[in-house]
Amino acid sequence: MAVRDPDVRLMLRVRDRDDQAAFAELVARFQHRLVGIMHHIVGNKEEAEDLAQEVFLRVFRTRAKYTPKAKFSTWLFTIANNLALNALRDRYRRLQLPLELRDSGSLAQRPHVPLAAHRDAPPTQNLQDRELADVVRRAMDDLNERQRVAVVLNKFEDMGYAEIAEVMGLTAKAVKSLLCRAREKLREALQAYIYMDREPPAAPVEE
Amino acid sequence: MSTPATPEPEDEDLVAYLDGELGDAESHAVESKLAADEEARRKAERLQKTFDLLDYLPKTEPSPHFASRTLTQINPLAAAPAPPAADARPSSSQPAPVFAPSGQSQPFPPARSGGWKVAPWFAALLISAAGGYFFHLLAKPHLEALAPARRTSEQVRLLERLPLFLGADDLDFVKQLDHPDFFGETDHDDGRASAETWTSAELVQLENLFKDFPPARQQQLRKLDEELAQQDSVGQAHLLAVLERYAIWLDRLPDNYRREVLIAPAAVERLDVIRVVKARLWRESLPAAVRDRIQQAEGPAREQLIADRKQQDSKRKLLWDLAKQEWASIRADRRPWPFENEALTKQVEEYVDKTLKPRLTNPERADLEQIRKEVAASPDWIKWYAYGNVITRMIDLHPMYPEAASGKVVKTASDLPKPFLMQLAKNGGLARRQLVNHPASGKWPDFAEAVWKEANELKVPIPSSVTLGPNKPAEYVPAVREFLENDLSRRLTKPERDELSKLESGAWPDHSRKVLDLAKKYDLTVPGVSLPGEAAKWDQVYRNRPARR
Repeated sequence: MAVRDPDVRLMLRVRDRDDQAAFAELVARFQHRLVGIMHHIVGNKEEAEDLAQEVFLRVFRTRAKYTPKAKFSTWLFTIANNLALNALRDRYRRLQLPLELRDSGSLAQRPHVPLAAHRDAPPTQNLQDRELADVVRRAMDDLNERQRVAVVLNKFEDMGYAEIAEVMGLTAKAVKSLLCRAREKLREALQAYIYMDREPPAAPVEE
Repeated sequence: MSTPATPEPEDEDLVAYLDGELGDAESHAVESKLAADEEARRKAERLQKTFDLLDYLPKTEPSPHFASRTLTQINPLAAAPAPPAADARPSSSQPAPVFAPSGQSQPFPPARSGGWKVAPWFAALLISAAGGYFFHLLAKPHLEALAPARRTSEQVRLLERLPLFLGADDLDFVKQLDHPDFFGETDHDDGRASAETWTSAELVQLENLFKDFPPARQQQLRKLDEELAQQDSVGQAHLLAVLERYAIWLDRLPDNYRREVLIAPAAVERLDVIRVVKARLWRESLPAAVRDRIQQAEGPAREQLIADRKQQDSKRKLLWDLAKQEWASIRADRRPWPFENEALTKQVEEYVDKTLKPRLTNPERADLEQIRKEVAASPDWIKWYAYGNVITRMIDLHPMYPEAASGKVVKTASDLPKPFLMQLAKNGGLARRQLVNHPASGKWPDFAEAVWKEANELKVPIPSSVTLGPNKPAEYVPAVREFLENDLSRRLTKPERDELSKLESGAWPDHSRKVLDLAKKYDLTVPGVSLPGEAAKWDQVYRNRPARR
């Protein structure tokens, strides 16, 4: 059944025949998702690319051990989860030295915001979105690593709890409470911003 | 970091419910709790909205050479346990594009991002270290005063424009600069790049500068110049003017800021840096007191201060713009159109109350009431003008369509059949929970339009059981029906009438849109839809479209 998944078929070609064309296709197929997800998790593009590259390399290196079950992407994100968590934990251990271009603040690591989409928006809109993006980024950074990974998979990969559980090596129940805590924390951090572009609740709220 | 203690099972269920992870029985339990408990409802809404805020995080694309870089890395890895003939190079027996998912015909060297692109900027920086950037560089006497070398006219053109290109990557970058946030013209385009003429000695200097660039950068500059030259003459002059504003801005920047702009590894990052530097300059340009206040504030308060200040700036600019435009009526102390006309004012007010207001969000409604209060308190020109502006802005945000005779149109997610919703979600569209919480939920035509757009984009057919809105004369409210029969159809040409009736067999909003287009063409007011008064006049006075008098 799983073999009908075209990604699984590609991976089997990589495993059984060292087929580099198949591997290239897997990279082409998953690079966008993987780099995007990693960026959301680690918060900077260069590190995200390095990690994503490392994930692909690990896929290749451990190809012999691959056993097809369920979706290929689940396996891929399992590896991604491990590497991302390791990288994030490493951060706490060694204070990251800024790279040459980062000395002037976070300029060089600012992610790409497509401009074209904002062409028609009033000039302030752009800045507001940006500032909002920064606020959201900070809120994400305040989550602990596992919360962040779970939120990112849930939000941006649209993964259900069961799949997140498999990727993260947890029970579905644990994922449920992990996500609940994360969402609560995000709510606390972002409370002040949620009505910036939308309708506020009918009555003022006392907390 | 304060992680709340173990969450209540109730909270967990609520989040899981929002995520669509609960079974039927549990969902029912949550739903009845939500129905009964306002506090819980509010909490659910906030949880959902904070989750929606994550959409503000920027989307990242892998850099162009990500794939080739990754694939080059596996060569040594593949070599070790490889069965025969799995060499890195594509052999004749294998399909060709082994390493070329992005169209590269050769493996790309495993360079880190950055690379050569940084180098030319350092070159430019070294030269500029003494002070003023490239214009000064040209003023320095140069030793080689060669006889005019044999240059083609393209080469000369490139050299002449080189000072404008130094901070630019490619045509796409230049086009991105052409935006009011960057160096696009703001209100009026008088900008034509002043044609520079250089002496032959200066051309030699430019040529030397150009030759100092690595071949790849030279190639990039040549390409930029060629692509620019291929634009039509108006477009070319326009983009050159943009480049000139950019070059002058760069030239006037403090050295450290300019350095930041120039060493950005590629166009995308450069644009980001420019944006940030501009924001910083803006902050520095503030009166000291304001700046201090912003500096001392923290977190949300700080953001708020910045936002307020920006708003003030743009308001002031807006006032100046319209003062220029409406100078005559301001001096005569008349009200702006249409408010100088009592009868028309009354119609407009009626429209605002009956049609516009119900569809506004709460903050918008508050805005509207605020400006109305101000008009009532001091009915001078500027207040009326602001009122007209607010009205048009809100109408643009909530375009109206002719209403249906029966109330049976789609207003919320529960008006949509489940298989359709599932198909939408499956094709990558808004999942049910997002549609339920959609800001337009409960509002027609806003919600119907959102569904229509989504379905169209994802190519999910809208089932015939779903009525997004009226699509034939009989389905409209009586006033619109009368309008169609008595006013509009009489004006239409035969082909127009045929086209309109052909649309009746289609689906909303095709027919309605055509009706609106035609009404606009013949300057007719569709009852309950159009703002009273000539549409063109609203455009001209309030939407900052050029006044043609």
